Amino acid sequence: MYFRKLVKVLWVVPLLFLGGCSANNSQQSTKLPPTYQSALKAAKGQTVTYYGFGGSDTQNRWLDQVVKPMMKEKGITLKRVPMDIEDILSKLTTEKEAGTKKGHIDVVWINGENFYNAKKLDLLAGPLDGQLLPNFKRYINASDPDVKRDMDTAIDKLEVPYGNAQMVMIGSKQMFAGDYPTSATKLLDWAKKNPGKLTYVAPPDFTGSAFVRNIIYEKVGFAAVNNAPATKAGLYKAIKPGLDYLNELKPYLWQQGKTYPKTTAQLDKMFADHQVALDFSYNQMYAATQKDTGQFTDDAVTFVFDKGTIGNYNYLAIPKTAPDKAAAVVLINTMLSEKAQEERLELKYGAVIPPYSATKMPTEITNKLATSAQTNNTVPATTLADKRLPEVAGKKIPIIEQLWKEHVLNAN
Amino acid sequence: MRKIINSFIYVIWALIVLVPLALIVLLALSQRWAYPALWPTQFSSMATVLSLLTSTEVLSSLGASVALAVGTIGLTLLIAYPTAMALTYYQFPGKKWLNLLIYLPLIIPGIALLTNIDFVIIKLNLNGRYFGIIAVHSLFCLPYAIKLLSDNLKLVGPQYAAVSQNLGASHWQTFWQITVPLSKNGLQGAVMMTYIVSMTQYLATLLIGEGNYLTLSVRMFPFTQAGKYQLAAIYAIVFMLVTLVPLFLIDSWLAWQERSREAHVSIDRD
Repeated sequence: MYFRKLVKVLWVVPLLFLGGCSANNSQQSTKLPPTYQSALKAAKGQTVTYYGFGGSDTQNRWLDQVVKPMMKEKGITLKRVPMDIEDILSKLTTEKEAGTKKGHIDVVWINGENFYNAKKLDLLAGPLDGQLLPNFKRYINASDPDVKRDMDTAIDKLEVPYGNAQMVMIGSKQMFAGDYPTSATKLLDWAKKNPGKLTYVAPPDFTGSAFVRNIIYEKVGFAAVNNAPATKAGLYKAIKPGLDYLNELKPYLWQQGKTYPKTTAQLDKMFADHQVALDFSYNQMYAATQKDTGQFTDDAVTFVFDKGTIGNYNYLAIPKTAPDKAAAVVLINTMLSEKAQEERLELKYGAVIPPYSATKMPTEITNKLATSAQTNNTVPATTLADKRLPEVAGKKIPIIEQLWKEHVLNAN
Repeated sequence: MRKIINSFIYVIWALIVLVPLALIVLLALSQRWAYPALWPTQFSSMATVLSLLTSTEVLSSLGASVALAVGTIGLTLLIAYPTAMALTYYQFPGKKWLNLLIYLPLIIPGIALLTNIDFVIIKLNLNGRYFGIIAVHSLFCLPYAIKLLSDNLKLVGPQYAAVSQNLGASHWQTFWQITVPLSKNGLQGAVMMTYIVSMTQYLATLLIGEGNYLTLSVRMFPFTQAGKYQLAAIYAIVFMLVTLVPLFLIDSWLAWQERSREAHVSIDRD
């Protein structure tokens, strides 16, 4: 047959190509800059790469329209790459295994369970603190519980909060006649008088799961859940009063609690149609954003339980392999700035509340939140801060969800 | 009777193919479509859709997608064509094994394969580079391309090439003027399949690309995950257009060539 030689040659070409590019990983990893001033200087003219969840169009818009121009003014180009945190961590792990000193990821959006893993694998650079980040020092108390621990994992200056989330209840003014159930007991009383008018999203939905934990806090307190061992038997013993309460509430729920809405979108719709009187959200300003897009009306009033609701933060971190740590520091400081955070309160940017400590909150932002409290019936910042409860360890959450399924959903 | 059966089959085909397509178009246009309503309760204006299209980087990611797809086609053919020739026309030890090995990239679970490829690519210092990404894309395209080409080469057979050699043509002449033109159908299939597979690569582009190539799939995927169906549907429509239009162009160009050759042949005969 003709062409034996040519076939051989063609086989070899791609191999040569690959062989030609030999490994070359002799670069040095960069260190965090000593001060913010030196970071600003070193970062001029650089490109900083931000990796984070790309499915939130409001957050994408905030970064593109607010943070990017602010960085441009400092002579730094911001590049946003949409990637899930699980993939980011697997990428960073591979880089570590391959012995890379200089990767391509400068700043990541991270929290909870993923932070725990990243810390365990020693992927993050530190210390990120008030010494390095002026805006961290200016607006955030280093002693805040959420600055010290993220879902019960010690932070040790490896990540910095940049957004604030807290469970809120949204009630129908008309259906509650202005008297909102601000405790588990009041909620049960109301349900008994108005059967079929309440429900919650079934865990493991993020918001539904938070509501169940919030009810457990009401009944046994955060400390009891936090101190319980992370085993099924141990947690069951600790949270049983909470599960009993949910079972007592169950027959008075929508469809006698035999079925639950599966998504928050479904519950939002039922609430908007006055099928149920109560909705929940992890975004404190949710009622305002929903009102803005025409889903909710002035009838939607936000409130929190007297004993408080669960809050958590979103965080930013710098990987050890970040190629430009100076620019990364500038980016984090910029995202924490008053200007960026105030813009972020706009409804089109998702209305995310700053991670600032209540005592250090700038008056403009406090006023903005107070105005929203008046016009959109949301809760003022100080009240939210007062009524904030910490999150339990990430590994306990799936166990609690499983216990809910066994002892509440499938109980006869 | 036969007509009825035929039209019935057409209707079923249309339902299976067109209904999901129509759903995507509706999703792209609907601002609010609450369960269990059968029809979107509120439509976005064309202006809103257009502004979503321009503000969400749909268009800028198009260039990256096409650039990678074109390079992948080149590299894939460079490897797949000789491989297909070897597998069809030559006998060598381990041929059966090679035949099986070709399908490995499709058999091994994607995430396991990709993390390890990523490791190798970093070691080779190809991460974030154009060649690194098209090499990985090609890996996933090769099984399809080789299979399509070797099936086609088998159909053509080695006899024409042998005749050309006997008449005194050189190796290169035989290759370019006999073997390649005869395997045109196989090439067409391989090019189209490679184009589609390369366009739809998500994790490979993201992991190996180090964020340097933000293609349509890379931008679209997070929106589908977050339940932002309108945005995802807009991406999907652009995606379908850029996938289908070039395929249509290649197809009609080939058909046109075919027709003009037939015209030539009939003139020659006169």
